[in-house]
Amino acid sequence: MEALKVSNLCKTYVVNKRQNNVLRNINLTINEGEMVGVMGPSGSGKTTLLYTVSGMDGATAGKVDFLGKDLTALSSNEMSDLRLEGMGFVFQQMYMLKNLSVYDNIILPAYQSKAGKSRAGRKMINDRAGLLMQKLGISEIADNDVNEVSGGQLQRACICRSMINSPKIIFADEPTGALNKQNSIEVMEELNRINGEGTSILLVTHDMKVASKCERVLYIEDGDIREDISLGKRAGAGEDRERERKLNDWLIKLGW
Amino acid sequence: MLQRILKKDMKRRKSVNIILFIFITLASVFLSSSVNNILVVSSAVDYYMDRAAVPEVSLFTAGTDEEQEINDWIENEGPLVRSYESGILVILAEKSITLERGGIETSFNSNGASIYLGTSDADHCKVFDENGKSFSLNKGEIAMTSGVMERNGLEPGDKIRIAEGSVDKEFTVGLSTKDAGFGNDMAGMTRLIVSESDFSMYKLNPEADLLGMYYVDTDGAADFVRELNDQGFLSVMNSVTRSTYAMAYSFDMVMASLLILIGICLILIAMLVLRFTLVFTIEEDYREIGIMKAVGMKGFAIKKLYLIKYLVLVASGSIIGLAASVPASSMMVKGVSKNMIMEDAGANLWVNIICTLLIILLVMLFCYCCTNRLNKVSAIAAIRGGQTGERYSGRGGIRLHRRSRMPVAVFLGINDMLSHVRRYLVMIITFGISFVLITIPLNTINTMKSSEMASKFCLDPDSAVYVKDIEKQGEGSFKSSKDLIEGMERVRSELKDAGYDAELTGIPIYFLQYEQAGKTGKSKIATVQALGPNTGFMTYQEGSAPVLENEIAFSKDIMKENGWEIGDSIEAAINGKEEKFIITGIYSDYTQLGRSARMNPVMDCSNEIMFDYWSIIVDMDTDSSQSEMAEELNKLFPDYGWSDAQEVIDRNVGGIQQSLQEMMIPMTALLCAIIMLITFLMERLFIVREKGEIAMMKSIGYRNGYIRLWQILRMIWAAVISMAAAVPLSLLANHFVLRPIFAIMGAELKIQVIPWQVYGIYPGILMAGIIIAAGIGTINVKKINIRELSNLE
Repeated sequence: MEALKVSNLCKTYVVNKRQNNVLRNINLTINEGEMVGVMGPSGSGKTTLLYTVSGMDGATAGKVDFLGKDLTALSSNEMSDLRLEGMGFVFQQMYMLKNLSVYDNIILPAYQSKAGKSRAGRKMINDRAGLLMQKLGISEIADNDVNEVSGGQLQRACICRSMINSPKIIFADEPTGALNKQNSIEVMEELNRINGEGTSILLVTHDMKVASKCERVLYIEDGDIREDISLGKRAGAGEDRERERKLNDWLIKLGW
Repeated sequence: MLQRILKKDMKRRKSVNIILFIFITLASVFLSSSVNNILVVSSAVDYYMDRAAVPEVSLFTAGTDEEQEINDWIENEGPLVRSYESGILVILAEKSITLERGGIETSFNSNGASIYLGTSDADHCKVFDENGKSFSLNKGEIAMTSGVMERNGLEPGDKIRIAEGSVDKEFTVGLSTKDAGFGNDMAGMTRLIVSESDFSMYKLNPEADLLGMYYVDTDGAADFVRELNDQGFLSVMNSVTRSTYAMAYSFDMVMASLLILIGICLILIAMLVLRFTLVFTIEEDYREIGIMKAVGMKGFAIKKLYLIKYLVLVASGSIIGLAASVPASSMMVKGVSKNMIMEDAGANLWVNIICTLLIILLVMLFCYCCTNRLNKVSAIAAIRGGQTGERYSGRGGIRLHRRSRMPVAVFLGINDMLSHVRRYLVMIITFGISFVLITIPLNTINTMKSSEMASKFCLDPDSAVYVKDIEKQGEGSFKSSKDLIEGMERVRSELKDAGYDAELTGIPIYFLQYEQAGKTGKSKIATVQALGPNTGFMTYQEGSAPVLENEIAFSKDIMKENGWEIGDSIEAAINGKEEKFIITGIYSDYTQLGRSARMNPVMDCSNEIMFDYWSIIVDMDTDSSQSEMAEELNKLFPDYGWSDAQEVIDRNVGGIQQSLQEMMIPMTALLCAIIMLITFLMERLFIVREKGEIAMMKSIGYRNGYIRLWQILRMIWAAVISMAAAVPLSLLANHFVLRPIFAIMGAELKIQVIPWQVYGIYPGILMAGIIIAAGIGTINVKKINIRELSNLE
């Protein structure tokens, strides 16, 4: 079953009267529970693709179907509601409100959702946030300020925040880009685990090790999906070496 | 290179630079115009008195019978007399003046004041035209104050007829005047100015009622008055010192004080906002300063760059502010008083220049100190916005997860305020000042409308109506209480014939000479006496009302001045005899600026010259309000001046209430505009700073509207806190600002606070302004793209 379907998606920027076609006729389908990685050289349009298919940025042409709705036709408010209830985001930088504690940042989207309007709903949200933090091993930093914790902890808190409303899909833009090796491994483990629970993930990365954890990898160049490779569902850490080799061969073939 | 960096910075950070520029301009306008206004207004009365050459003592005599004796005494024995000048005015009855407008003849309205005819040639108590210039009139021309002209609906070119005795002449209104000695309603005197030759006609008329005037410059006004009273001149009616003249302008000073207060508040607001904006913008620059440091630029080179940037901003902003401050201060000073000539605020350009230079200096000093701090900060600390990462105190704010019901926008607003208390304190103080400022004229107006105010003007607030000018056409002014009683009886019977069963109580005013044998010298004191059935409405601070023939009461100021106490024996010269009185009570009211006596109602003073009489109190059973009654009776008996208490008060305080009321809308608009502008600019500044956070909120699904609500709610919380803080501050302002102003007039009274106005409507208007400004300021939230997440540091 399709979670996200992108048809003929184009994105054009005009800079100093010069047209820059960043995305050209992108067609893409992400199934429910699928984890898709996007790779490509710098400036190829990876991040723009992520922002456009998630409705964070408008498309110049084309359609993006998500949960039966065309994102390109939604109003700003409808798009916000969809982002709130149906999507989760993880960015390279750990963006959080500095005035709030880590815990409050995590529950921020949930308190604005329908469930967050009632006392009982908020209690459930608090329970869920506690559980998520426990699963991701960051319970001890709940009351800390965002500038008091490490990058890895903060990125895991961002993942918690993206998961708090049980989204259908998570968009992740270089989620390990600002992390060290150990933290990167931990974050990817978490994303794999979440994906295993049925949440679709679209992930942009430069890192082959990260991409190798995905079920399918797209290679984007000059705003177009040049090729894709299916690596299959990841069963465990034992097959990582084989997946990395397969991906590496494919990338070399593409001139990476 | 330097030029290129500056140009880029100005362009790239347009919003912040424009906001800083506007605040510098505003601060410059506020500081320059306010300091200038404070200087002009605080010395306004002295300036006016000097300009008009108001003497230390003005002496009024009934007629000129003792002219030679008085002249001899002043010249030879008058204590510390430097110089003096004498003159004559012709006393006119209100009914001897008629106006002609559009072929219809109407009577003159003196607003209850005594009317005198004079010329403009005296060296003392000079009279000027509206622009403060000397003037001369042609034969057949007449001039009067703008207040008198307005009251009578006169314009230059209109005709006035003055028929006094055998002289009957028509005059053409030439111009309106400013008359320091006779131009204030509080003085109770109105002077009509005519040419020398026209004046001679009236003066030489054998039936003319003349008022002798002596303008005495002395170094000992109090000694002069005391010794004058001891001489026992029969024709001396009253002597007025320069300070009493100045006091007559105390209600004009309500407006002046208000302007001073506004000035101080604007300076405070300007300084607070400027400091805040500077800190905010320099903090914004920290990151770039850090980068420059990191790439190896030297400390001085970086400092120079930013100092030049701020110098360009502050110089251009304050020069524009300087240009705008000149018309701004002139405009504000103009509104202070119609009665006074104020020093031209525009003439003190040097004050504006000094203030502008001060702003430049302050800003540059502040920037220098801030950039100096960079010497001690490492490149990375600067990149982190001046933070070293170390924190020694707990985080402010509240926890979202502990609020089981609070909407997120409400929480975020409160949390922001608690996390950045200093940032919001500036706004809270600014809003608070505005809220307090608006309550001052409101409370002044409401106090002036209160029944306590009416009773302080010797009026029974519960009476049906008041009447003045009951003299018959051609009868002339009443000269004694006997005339007054006869007049009241006539009016009472006319009212009865018209179906009104009324009782009239008249209050004649005499100037009687009092002394305490062996203790104090003689002093002439304005004395009122209630003649009629209603004598119980006057209130007393201590003791009781004088009832028996040998009882009297004095105002607090008189008692204090003479060191008298309740129970003391006082002697007064009445009907040519020395009468003994016991002081039974002390009161405070506005009669003769708080310096008066209340005679018992039994004592016969009918042989004493009645200086004037107060508005006659008319009591009857009626369901109509005072104003309805006044309107009704003015139609039935148009020859008499019927009025309600408010009109009598207004007449005596020089229309200050009306001026204040007229000022309420522009003042509310001005304050609203100022706080709206500050709110708008602050909001824009916050948004520039919070772009990243707003983008983040959007990315996790918060709607634009909800983010705007969060931003607006912060402003509302700040305004609500300000309003709460403004309540006690306003009460303090009543006590320390308004009460003393009312007390200058001679009486203390309770400042009236109408809560729904003071704490409801007007703050509500300001609150609406804040919400609208915040709403407009947050429109930009829509334009913030999620891609601006990179602005989140």
